[in-house]
Amino acid sequence: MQEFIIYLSLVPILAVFLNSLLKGPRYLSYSIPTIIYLIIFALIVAHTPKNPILGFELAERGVMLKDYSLLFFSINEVALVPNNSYQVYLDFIFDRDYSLMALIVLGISTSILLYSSKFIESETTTRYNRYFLFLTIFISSMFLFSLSNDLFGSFIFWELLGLSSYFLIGYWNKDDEAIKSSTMAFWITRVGDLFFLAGLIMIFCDHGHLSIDKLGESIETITTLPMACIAIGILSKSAQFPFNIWLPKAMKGPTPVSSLIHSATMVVAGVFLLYKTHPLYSHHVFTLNLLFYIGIISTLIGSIIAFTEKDLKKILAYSTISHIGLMFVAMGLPRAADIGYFHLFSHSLFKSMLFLYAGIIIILKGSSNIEDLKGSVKSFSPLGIILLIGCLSLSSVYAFTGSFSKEFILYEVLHQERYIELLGLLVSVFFTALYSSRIYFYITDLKFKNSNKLSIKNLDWVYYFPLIALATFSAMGFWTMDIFNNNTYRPGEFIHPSEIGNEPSYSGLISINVYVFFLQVLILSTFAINFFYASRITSYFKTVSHAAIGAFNSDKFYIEIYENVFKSLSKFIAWFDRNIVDGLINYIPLKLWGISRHLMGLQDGTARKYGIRMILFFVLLALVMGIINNIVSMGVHP
Amino acid sequence: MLLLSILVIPLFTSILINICSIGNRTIRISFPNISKSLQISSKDIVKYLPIFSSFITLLIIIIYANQNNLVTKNTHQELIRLYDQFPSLNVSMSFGVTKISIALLVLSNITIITALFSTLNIEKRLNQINTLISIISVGIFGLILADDLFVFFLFYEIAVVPMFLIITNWGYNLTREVSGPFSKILNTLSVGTKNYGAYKITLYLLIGSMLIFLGLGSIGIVEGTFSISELLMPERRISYNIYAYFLLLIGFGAHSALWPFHTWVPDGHGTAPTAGSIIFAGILMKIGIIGFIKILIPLMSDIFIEYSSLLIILASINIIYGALTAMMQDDLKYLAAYASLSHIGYIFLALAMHNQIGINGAIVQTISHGLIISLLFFSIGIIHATKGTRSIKELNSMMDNSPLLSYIFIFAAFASIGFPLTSGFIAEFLIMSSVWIYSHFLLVIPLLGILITTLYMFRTVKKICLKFRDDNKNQIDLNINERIICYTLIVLILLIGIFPNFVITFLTGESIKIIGI
Repeated sequence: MQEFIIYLSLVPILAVFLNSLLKGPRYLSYSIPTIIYLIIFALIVAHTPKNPILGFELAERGVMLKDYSLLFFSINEVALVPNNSYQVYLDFIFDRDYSLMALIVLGISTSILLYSSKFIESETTTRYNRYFLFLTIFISSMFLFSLSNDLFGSFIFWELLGLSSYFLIGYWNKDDEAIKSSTMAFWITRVGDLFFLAGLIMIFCDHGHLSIDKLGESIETITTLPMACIAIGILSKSAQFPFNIWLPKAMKGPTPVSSLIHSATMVVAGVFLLYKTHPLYSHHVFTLNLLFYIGIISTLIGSIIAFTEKDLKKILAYSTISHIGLMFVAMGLPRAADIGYFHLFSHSLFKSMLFLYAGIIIILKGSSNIEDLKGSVKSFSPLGIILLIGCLSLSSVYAFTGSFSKEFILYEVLHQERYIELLGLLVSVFFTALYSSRIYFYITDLKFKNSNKLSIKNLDWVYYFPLIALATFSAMGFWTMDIFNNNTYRPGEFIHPSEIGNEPSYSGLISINVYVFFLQVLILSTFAINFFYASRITSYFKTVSHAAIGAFNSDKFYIEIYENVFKSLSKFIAWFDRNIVDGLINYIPLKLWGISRHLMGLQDGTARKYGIRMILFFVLLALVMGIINNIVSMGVHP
Repeated sequence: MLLLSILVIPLFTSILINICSIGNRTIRISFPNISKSLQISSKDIVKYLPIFSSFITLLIIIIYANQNNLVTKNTHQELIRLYDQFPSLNVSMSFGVTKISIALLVLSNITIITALFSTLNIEKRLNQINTLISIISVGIFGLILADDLFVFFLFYEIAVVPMFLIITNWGYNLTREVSGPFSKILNTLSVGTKNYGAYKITLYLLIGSMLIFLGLGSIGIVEGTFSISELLMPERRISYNIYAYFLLLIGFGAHSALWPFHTWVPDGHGTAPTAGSIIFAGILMKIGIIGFIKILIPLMSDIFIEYSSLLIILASINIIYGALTAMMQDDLKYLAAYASLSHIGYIFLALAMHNQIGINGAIVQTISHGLIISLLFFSIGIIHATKGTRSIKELNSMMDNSPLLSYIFIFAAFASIGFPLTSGFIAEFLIMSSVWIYSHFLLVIPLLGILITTLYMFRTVKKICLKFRDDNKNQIDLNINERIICYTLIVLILLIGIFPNFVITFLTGESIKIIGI
């Protein structure tokens, strides 16, 4: 069965490819992948011992699906590594953690496939098929990435994610900006990928294999450098601090693509990989601190910029950077990796919902600037309530999906007694509440009145069906936490906040209840402040936001590097090659030719000169022979 | 003996197509009981017979491999001694077959087939260019199989010389701007024309072959035998001959475009027709590598290890310098030429590491580079034929006008940056592993090389495939012949990338023999 699922996940790519090759009907391009992904979803759900959604027991114990591994290559008889051979397998494991991630990916992907089928309807058939070809490559590789238990396999699917996102972001290639931003995204993530590859090679040469499970048995032998390299690679793909510029630019792509890539899949793939490999680096202080501090910087500055940004999709992009930063904070703590994974899970639900929502509004209004969207949704209509759920989840109001994971991460930071860092995180919580309330108050008609209201009635069902499904998940915080608890390895450590306070390990300074109460007061008061004093707050934080934009605006830096280092160097070397090296190479034979013309002058026909030259020549010959004899006897030892 | 027939088949083919091309005749083949008769015009024979005979040689190689169970065997060596050429010098017409030579034979056969497919569109004197390609293939096959230093040199010269005629007759004239201290000389030579390119290549390679001749001769005369298999006997110790080493290093290096002996590569590729470029990059640039693998490393391993730092420095310059130069090129063929310069650098780097994983990586990279660069040059040839230009500035919106062609170009670009699931990734992974084992610090060089390769390849893809301009409306895509060969190459690249274990285990036993553990 496990092989069947692995190979079945490749069928959608093949189906769309054949459909575009044989010029079949359009609807096959999205319906076949949707059905197959749903089948895979059902198969995995049917084979897990606990039903992941409803929580009731289906089987007594154990995982029904076995591991599946495929030999990639092996080099034997090598005396350099412990077990005398290099072996690389493609390992897939269907355990609870991994299959939960696979289910999130499949669930969100199918809703996005449906949504896209309508979204790009106006394109020509070749372009329509091309879109679904790369979308299915993306989804399948993300699915296989989440199941793969091998760094090598992870790297392969990691790169395939980069490939398909390159084409998806640059899909509207009539816009030069879209192509530029997709190429930039590819280049920047490629830099990170090379770091990843370097780390992979270091581990491979030391151990002869790359299986995460087997590496976990010999944690002490893994040094800091490879794991730090892998961490840098992950930071670039997740658009964290020095690599952050590609994510807001990637918003030039179609909205469903933004929703898929930038919420649940590609940008958090690295976080999930860190979750898998957490035992390998949890004893390296350097790697942990790298992740922790870069996470704090990104979450803080990302939330501040999201507050000043005008473009709705870019606000969501910066908010993604900020939330992923929070996940990295969790990954950078010695024992909070599962909380980071929980934040990944809840974030992907409400963020993809918000992106799809933004897509609908942008289609209906024709603009993504929130100044143009003022008051365009009735606050007590379905659309208004969905937006409210999204914004409350985003700012982590209690009992909404985004809340528990964020509180746990902040509490864990407090528990580690890192107070200054905690302060930074609290500032970011404040700004998160500010920008999410800003989105809500701008788009609904609570503050701004607009006669031209949007209604859900004008929409096709493929638009609002995914929206409602995801909104349901976002609203039910306790339920999603149950789902998560039921499907991860350490259910005991991870329970309702009120019970956590009783655990001995959490007997910190403040009990969790007081702490959660304080956070809620902070968030809700921010909502209120933003409702009444919005303009004043914007002017208060002008300098802060300018500083944040300055800190994050590194694209000039990258362009400078590209223009001044690579381009000017290559310009010089290209000139050097064509003129100096080639000139020199041509110069030598021409000079030889000139010498031979001079030597021709020697044949002047006078016997006296000939005789003198002959004597000179023999003397020279004797000398040269002597020298050559010496050199030969020095150089050639028998 | 069966295998040696691949040295004769191309010659017979070339004689046959030259006979057929006299006058325009039609051959009728009528079958009994069927009223319709098969008509083949002589033009078709000239077009398709070389391809057919190349398939037969490929089949013979595969049959040979199958007969000897090469897939399951660990190592294999068969010596075939035809006759003595110069008995006093111990020179004999002898050939040796190993597993590596089988792999290289398959690669060069595929490259030859690709080159023959690219000539299908040529109307002008097709029989002659096909004859020249057949002669080159004889030279290459003999070179790979040779078990005698003299025979090696003999076939080597056969392979090199026809290139001159291909470029001068079917090449392109380009213009090149020159400046700097040597501008006067470069201007008097009229750089960029096809005659310049042809003369440059021929002189370059002949000077290289002179050095190789001296080096091989000095080995043979000092040791008293020219037979490679005799020289490789374990009880035999080869004398410390440093001149021969450097002569061979420079000679083979000049052939495989080792810096600074590389300037023939861009001029040659730029002026050559597509078939010429494919043969160049796919095979002729590999002659030096074959020399390293067959002769230099196994015969002179102690000198090789002693002076390996020199080779490492030159290979590193090749990688970075080639990639940086490619970034500024406007002509697609120049871009591919410098890209292959950079890729050859990886092979030299891996060879210089002198460990088993490195030798494996070098051979896989040799095969993979041959396939990828053939695909790249083939697609560039089609772009030139259909769009009428090779300039990156002038090309655009290929993704919308000719989607299949642009997909093939993009695939070649991805393969050449070493993207996973293509053969380039496996080669680069093995090479980088060997580099890390040799020296931790040196890993920066291949990584930087890949980064710059990504920069220039995707700058090109962005400009010629994705960038959309309305003014370019002609919808032209590949015809059936072009599709067949492009799909074949893509499948081969993917096969090595997805199932690398087959190739790697096939080569492992032999690579141990090369470094002599």
